[in-house]
Amino acid sequence: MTVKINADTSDGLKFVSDTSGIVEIQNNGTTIITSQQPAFSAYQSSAQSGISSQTWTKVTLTTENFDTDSKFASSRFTPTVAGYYQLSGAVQTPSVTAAHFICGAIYKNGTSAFQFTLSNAASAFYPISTGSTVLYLDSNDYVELYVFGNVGGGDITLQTGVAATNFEGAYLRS
Amino acid sequence: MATLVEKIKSARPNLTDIDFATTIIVQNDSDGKGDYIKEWKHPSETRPTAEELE
Repeated sequence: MTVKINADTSDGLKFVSDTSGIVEIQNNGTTIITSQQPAFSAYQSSAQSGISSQTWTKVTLTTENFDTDSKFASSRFTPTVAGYYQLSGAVQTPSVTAAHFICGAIYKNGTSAFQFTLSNAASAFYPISTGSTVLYLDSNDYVELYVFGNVGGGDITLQTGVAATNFEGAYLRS
Repeated sequence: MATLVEKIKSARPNLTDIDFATTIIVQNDSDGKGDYIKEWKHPSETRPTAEELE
């Protein structure tokens, strides 16, 4: 249960109270804002091995900047609060002097939901692929960061660090 | 040791790099189970059998 403040088209302001400590603002019975607003930010701090060339691979994000509601675990964000979420991320490799490409993606429930810009060049100084989108997540949806790439025809490694390979998200609205 | 993508390319030599970015998805969920074929939608090349990928 939650405390509900509802702008009702028949009764005007309706107020339902309980002791949950959660409050929702409703438009004619439909929740548009809740006090449960999960947000997280995490990055890769330990080098990840086993990223095969041209294989979409889940990125392990070993350190959290913040995780407001403890909804981020095992490199996966499961907010449990239905709504629209702003999500963004980046995948970066160390500098390369060979032909390469690298692309990140946000996966929803194990399937690609949004692909980042593709970094594709003969050589590059710390090539990076970044992206940002808004996804609707229901109460049991989850999102993860994946990477796809090839460096010099072989496997890839990721650049670790808060400004290199990262994933973050925040609740926008119901 | 050859990766799954390398084994697929060996079994289906007509495939090119672009195929693995479009019609064939090889995936690894970093759960210790390794690479696997998530999706095969190539218009002409058939999905290799497990024996062909050994």
